[in-house]
Amino acid sequence: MDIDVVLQSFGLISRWQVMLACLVGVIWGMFVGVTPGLTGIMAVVIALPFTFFFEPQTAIALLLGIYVTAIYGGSVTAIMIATPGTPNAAATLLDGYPMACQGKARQALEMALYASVTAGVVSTVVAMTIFPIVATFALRFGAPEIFALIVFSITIIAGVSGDSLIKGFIAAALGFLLATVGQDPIHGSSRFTFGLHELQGGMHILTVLVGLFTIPEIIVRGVEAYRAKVKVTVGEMGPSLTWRQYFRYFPTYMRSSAAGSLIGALPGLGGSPAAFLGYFIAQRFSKHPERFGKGELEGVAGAESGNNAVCGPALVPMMSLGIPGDTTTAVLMGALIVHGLSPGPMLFTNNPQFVYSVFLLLFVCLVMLLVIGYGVVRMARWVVEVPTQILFPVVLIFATFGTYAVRGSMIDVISMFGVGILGFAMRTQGIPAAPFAIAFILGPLFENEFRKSLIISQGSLEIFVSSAISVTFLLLAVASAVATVYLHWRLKGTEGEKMMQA
Amino acid sequence: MEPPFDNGGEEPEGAGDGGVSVAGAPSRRSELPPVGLETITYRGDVIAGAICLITALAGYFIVVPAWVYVPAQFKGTINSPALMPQALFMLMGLFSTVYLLRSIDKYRRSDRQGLAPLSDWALAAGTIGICLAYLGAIYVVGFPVASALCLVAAQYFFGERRWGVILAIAILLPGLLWLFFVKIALIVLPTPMIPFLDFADLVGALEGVFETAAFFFEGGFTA
Repeated sequence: MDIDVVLQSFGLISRWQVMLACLVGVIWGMFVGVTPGLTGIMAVVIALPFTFFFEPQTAIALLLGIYVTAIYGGSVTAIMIATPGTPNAAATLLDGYPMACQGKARQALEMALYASVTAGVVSTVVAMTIFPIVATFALRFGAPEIFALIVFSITIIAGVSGDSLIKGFIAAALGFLLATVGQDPIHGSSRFTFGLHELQGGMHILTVLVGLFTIPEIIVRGVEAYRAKVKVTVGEMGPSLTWRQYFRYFPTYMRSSAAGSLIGALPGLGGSPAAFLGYFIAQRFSKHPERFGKGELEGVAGAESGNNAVCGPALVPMMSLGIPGDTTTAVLMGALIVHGLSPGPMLFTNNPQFVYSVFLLLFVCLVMLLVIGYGVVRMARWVVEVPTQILFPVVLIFATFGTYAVRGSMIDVISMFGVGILGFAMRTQGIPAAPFAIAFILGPLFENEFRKSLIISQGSLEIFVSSAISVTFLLLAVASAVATVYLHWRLKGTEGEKMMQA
Repeated sequence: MEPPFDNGGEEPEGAGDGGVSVAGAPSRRSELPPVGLETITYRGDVIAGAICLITALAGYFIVVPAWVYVPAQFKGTINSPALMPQALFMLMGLFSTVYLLRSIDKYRRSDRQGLAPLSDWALAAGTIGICLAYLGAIYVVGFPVASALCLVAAQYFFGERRWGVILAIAILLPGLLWLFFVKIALIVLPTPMIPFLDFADLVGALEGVFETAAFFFEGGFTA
């Protein structure tokens, strides 16, 4: 990294117009993130036409502000009202919402914010310093390697299955099945569309997540509120996160950021798998894996580190190779092209100052996220003060408008209520929702990479053990699954003994 | 870990003699929480296991052949679009069978079974009913009006009795959401069956009234 070039880049961004654009982007991104139904990509697309009148740095500052902040914004509603604002926040919900119910909402929100910023800084430093290496390494990931990585992530299902592994596996099978609705990823054949053309594109992630987590919560809270006959609230904000608590999970930020950075650098995966992988790694290395899913601060740290670590590395293949990592970076790439900059190997050679200015802007966005996010944490106090009998009807309306807004389709709203009723039925019998959600998110990637690999190998399974990367991930997946099942049965035995002695 | 109150509010399996308190020993029954909607019971496990197994069998033998289109050249090959759904239904069937058999075994061995009070189920059904009525109302009267009606019904059902609060939220929230989604985010809401309740038309009509008034006050007719 050439220091002179970095200093010149610093000169490019240290202008009030760039800072103002960044601030506007952060505020707009936060607003979009906390609004269910509005996704980060939608926010970037809405802002894109305005950037045509800006200089490249100002334009990219606005878009990066939205991109970075919307990911955190989605976690606020996930923690406070069990409604993920964006799909990336689903993993945060698993421990964030139980924490809010236990009166620790402030700690969950602050941990989500600080973990997001920490992971953002770490991953941007990584992306900036090993820019060419990351791009080259990411290129070595073909379909079998990505498949092996997804298999490794899927082993998390056993870890979040709660008290009964068999129920967790049933939930995961249901989630995978729901993910097969729509067109077959390879041939385009219709599967379970029941003649409805709206289902050809499959069920949207946000539709399923809102249905799975929000609707059952509304039903259960409705019964509670009716029974209580008095003003009841979600919980209390509780105490702030202490510095000691923040530093305790520093290794978790690093591990989950590394996982998120790897996912970010791989084209086509995005933030949701990164969040689950970050959560999974946090659980694997935790001293208390059994607390995950029940309101564990480390779970929030892992999930948020994972999904925010995607931002910086996702820009690397886009700028260095001209391959966008996800849809948002594809729109960012479009913005660069509009401004006469051609992403690809020549961008770094011809305009290195611009490349580094983008990374520096990410740091500026993260600092602004810290300030704006802290304000949002303080405002979240209003949510916990609203009585349940008012809050949850309001959440129902938000969820319905938001789900419709994602694709402008009533089928999505019907699907949301359908999945909601299924989620409620599962909840009454202790069938966990988390394996369902993970399977739904990772299912399409799993099938797509599996079948692509088989096409490449002409049906031979040997392709999955033909490269060191895929073998490593598959071995890790086996080891992880065996360890989880063993720990689960050992824990079950210990609990049983305690019960017998009681 | 098996749920501690798995047999429906009775003592956990293994405590005492097959779930029944040892004579003379103080019963722990009073310390146990009552059976609620989220209390896992063996009876419920048996029902859930049976439903899952039926779903898996129906999925494999009926739904996949009927609703997955498989081009002739891919039938029975590893590249078939039906491969993944079939494999998943098979796995689900396998897991459901294990779940069902284990639940039946535990159900037989426990002496008494709990069931959540009917009133809890009725309340849950009421909330689901409000959700479904809301869904139907969206088609009939449109998003904003249906949302307002749903807010009134849901708040009242959940126990809110201050009509000022109920009505203020029922009017303001759908209005604000409509303004944001339709006017700012430019999302087209579905047209209701009863056209005069289309919020866009109502607002359009109001805008027309204001424009006419402005035209009149500016001396439009005299000019």
